[in-house]
Amino acid sequence: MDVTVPTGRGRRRLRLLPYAVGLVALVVLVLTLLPGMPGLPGTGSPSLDDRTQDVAARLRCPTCVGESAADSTSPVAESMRSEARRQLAQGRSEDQVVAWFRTRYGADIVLDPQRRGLGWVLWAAPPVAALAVVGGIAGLVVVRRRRLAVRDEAPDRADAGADTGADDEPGGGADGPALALPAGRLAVVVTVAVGAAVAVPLLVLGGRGDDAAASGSAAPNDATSEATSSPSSSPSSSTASNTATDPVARAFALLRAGRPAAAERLVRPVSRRPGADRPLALLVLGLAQRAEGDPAATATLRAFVERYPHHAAAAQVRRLLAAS
Amino acid sequence: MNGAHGLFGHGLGRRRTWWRRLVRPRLVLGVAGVVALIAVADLLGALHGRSAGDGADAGAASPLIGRHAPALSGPTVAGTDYRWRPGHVTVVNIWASWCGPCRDELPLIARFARTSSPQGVRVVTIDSRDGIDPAKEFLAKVGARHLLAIHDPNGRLAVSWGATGIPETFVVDAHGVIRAHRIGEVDAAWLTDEVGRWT
Amino acid sequence: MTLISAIGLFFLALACCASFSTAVVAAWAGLSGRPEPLTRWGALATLVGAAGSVLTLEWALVTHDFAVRFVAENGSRSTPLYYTLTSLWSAHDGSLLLWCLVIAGYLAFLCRRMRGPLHAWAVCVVAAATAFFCCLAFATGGVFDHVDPVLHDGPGPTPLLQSNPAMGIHPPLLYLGLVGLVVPFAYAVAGLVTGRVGRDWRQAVAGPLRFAWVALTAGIVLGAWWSYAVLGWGGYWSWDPVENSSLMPWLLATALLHGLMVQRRTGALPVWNLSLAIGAFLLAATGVLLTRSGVVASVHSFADSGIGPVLLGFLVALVVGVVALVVLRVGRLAPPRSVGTPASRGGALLAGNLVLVALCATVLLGTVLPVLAEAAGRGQVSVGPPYYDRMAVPAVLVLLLLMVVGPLLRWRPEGRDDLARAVRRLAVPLAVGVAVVVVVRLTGHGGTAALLVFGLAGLLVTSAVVESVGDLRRRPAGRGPTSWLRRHRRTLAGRLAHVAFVVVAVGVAGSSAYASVGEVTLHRGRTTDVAGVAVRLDGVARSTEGGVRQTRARLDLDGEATTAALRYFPTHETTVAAPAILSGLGGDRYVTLLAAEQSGTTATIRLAVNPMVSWIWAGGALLVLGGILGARRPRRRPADEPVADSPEAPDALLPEPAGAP
Repeated sequence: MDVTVPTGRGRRRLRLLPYAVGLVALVVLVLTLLPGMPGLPGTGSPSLDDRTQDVAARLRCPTCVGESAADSTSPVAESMRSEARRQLAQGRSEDQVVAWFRTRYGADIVLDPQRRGLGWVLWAAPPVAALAVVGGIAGLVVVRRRRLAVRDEAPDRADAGADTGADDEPGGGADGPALALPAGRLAVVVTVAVGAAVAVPLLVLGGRGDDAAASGSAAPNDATSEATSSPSSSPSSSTASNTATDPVARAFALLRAGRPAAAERLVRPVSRRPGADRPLALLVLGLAQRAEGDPAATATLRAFVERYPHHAAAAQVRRLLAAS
Repeated sequence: MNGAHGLFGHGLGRRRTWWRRLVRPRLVLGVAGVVALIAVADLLGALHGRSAGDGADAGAASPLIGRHAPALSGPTVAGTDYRWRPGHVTVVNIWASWCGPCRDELPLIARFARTSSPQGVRVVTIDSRDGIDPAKEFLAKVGARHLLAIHDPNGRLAVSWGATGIPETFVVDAHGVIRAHRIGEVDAAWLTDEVGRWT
Repeated sequence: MTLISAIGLFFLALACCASFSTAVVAAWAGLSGRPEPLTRWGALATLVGAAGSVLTLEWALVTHDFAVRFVAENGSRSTPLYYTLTSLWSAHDGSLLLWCLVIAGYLAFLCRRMRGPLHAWAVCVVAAATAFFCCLAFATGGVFDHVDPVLHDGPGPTPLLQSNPAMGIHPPLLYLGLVGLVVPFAYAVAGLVTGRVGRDWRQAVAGPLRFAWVALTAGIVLGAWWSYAVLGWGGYWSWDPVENSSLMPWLLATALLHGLMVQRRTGALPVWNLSLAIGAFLLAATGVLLTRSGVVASVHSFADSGIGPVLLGFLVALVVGVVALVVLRVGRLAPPRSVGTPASRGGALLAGNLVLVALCATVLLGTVLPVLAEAAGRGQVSVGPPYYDRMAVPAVLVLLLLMVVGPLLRWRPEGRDDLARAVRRLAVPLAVGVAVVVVVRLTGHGGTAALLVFGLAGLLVTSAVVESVGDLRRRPAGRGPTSWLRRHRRTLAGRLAHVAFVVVAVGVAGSSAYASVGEVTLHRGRTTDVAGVAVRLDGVARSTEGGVRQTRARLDLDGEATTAALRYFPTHETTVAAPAILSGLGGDRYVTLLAAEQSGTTATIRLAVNPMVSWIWAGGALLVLGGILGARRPRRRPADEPVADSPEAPDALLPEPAGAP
């Protein structure tokens, strides 16, 4: 177990030197890394700007895709930063400010999942798994050493000879040696786990796609309000992903860009077939016809109002019809 | 002592311990498969339960519904100071002069404020992320000059109400509890329904 | 139907049929054990079909043939030629065609030579995957559909995709990398079928894996750069689901690269490597599902469509099939071999592998759990950068440590002397590392994680230099440095890749720990101090070019003139910020224009000082270089590794699967 002492003192001192250097290095490192060490130029307590940025980085921008309130340039993110700054200036802690936003916007405004419920799984699973793997390997090593020790003590055991020979050769017995277990079988478990982790959400989501398409009570409303809001002076947040593929949204964009003819052509087929985006398609078609001065506009818009009297834009269209 | 023998190498007895017998690939895979199936069934069940239930207004549910309304006070566009107190059913609308849909919505809100004030309904609006002058101009243009509008230049008030965009509308009952929330334009029917439900 | 639509559809149909028959023929070759030269022709026909359909679509785009649906939806007369060409992958159906072309390319590459059943089965798997994607494109895409009436002009590709030239190479590279993982996957399946997972398997996988890894690395770095230069929020990585879905395969591919090293030297871990190969492609396919199906919202998911369920079925079939294969075969594959003691090279590599897989699993958990939770109606959870950062930082620190220690360990250490030798060789690098930490700390910079990264970086770089110099000195007399370089090319390439990784890590640590941001409204001619930079607004100009309304603010940052712009695309109703970036080795000054008053007297900007960001791009380039240099030289002799040195059993000695005579 102990290190064999080599010849001569000088050589021994030389051997220990790296360890001494390492030790000193470690001490210096720990001392430097400790926050608030006296005698070091302090990084100081973080400024209000930094703290605001920290809080905002923990909050999702509610109108953006995949951006935090710290990164986004959307108006609501700006307001959130401004409010966070005000509260921090009043002496509230960062956690308090985040909690304040959570009560206003719900748990999913916080990018840093709470350690509660499902969030608990997120935070606990990786460290627990890591500890389990490290512990398992350490345990295997210990077990192995102990067995080797036992075997060394009893060298004439029947299977010992065969095993020492197997160390340098491939292939043990039919059922494989004890410690070969993890690499192979662990891989199987990992594969299954990844497979299950992939398959489960996908199976669930398979059903979800139809749901989203069929429901359409909330989504088209949002789409209308978004589409009807004026982009001229407000910094508009990115709606690229919508307009890129959705013909209705694109038609609306064309309509706004002053190309009603193109919009009409794009949206006409959609307005004929049933689907979640039919109301909006009908609306866009009507508006496009109206912009072109097509007399069919009134009929289309009226059809829209009659068929979807509770649509968010219905009231507006009624006013429009009444005016003309 | 242990020399070059492997971490996962050979050299051990072939006894089959109980745990080795337990951790056999097929068994592990079988168990994992069953667990995965149960998880899938569970999740699908939960999904089904949800879609069978109230899917209608799940999209717009604000976490503030059922809670006490946040503070609502500040300088108004008209230049006075305003502080709201519970005691009446109140409609809170958030708008801005640069918002397109507000052009159509605000006259409706103003009309509603006029017609419903005899029933004791208050209408308070928040002019969010907007300049004072454009706001005044806008109010005059849409014929809502007498509408109570709190000026909220950097949108903090809107944020404290959990608003994400403009326009948004809340209905608060007489006890100061938020009862309804709408993202986007409202229509007269929605206002009458929601306000009627809490008066 | 116009002629061009007919031509495109013909090519696509050709690719479908050819790939399907290739799969059948290859399966027959695998079963019979005879090489079938027919597969080569099938693969060639597939490639011709896929390339033909892509070229047809490009032709339609370039000639503004608005009768073709894809062109009507994504083409525009005002778009420059370069972005017209790249708009092929700006929407889902076009990118699916590109995907088909890439996978057909891999199929053709695999079919150059026929070598036994392992190879035949791998060809069969790749051909089957190609057939699947080609049929998907044929059946669901409708790219070549005829549009009636024919429009005179279209809206053009998504604005974000026509704002930076990186968009021309980033998606193809990423696809090259992600699709490339199909080759290791195919060999893994073939290995399971044939029971051959030894040297032949490793040699077959190593080359394509390295190629895919290099492409994927380059693709990810370019994607980060695009995100930094176009999205205007001053960051390069937001742990967005789409970013994650390219990172996860990268992590597993990196683990596999190192796992193959262990297998080469010790013959151990064949099943582990096989599982990594399978996992990497499954995750890549999941990534496609995430990007294409609109399941998750992301800045990068320009392409959502209704092919989600089909891809889902494909994935489920893959998972079920692979798991069944593993269940049936795993017991008979290879006899377990020793990796080495914990303090050996093999032990360190295995530890690194475990860390990479753990990190990958964590990212997967964070990406998938919110979707799951919402789908199951268990409340909404957002998992964002704070979570990933906290999880990834310890993992990266451990990886850096392993990258320092691992290369110093021997494959077969002899007792404690070896360990002592390794420690002694670390003395100087350790001193340098500590000195780096102390110096950085003394200059007033804090942040434990960042300091640790800097310290480990100093340690690793010094160690790499010390080792290389030592190797050079110890070279046998009479050998010149060039022959030494040639001989140690792969070792040096490995060191270079590690140093590159460290450079990236330093860039990430520096830019996330010491960035400062300020937002301010500037008045023309007045100088304001924002985040330590003196900024002056020189004027605001408005213009309309090619249907894009531009608002440009001319700015002066510490005496350097630059322009930040807002570009408004009326056809898409989208405003894209074109940030001004002044780069330097120390850091970038990054200005985004938020708003400008009509009169041009004031402008609101957001200025970020991002230290060391350019280190990330430099490190990324070095990483790619290291990956390329580390490639094995194309084989001249039939066997370039002396068999006697190799502890791996030749495949022929492995026990045959079930019921072999």
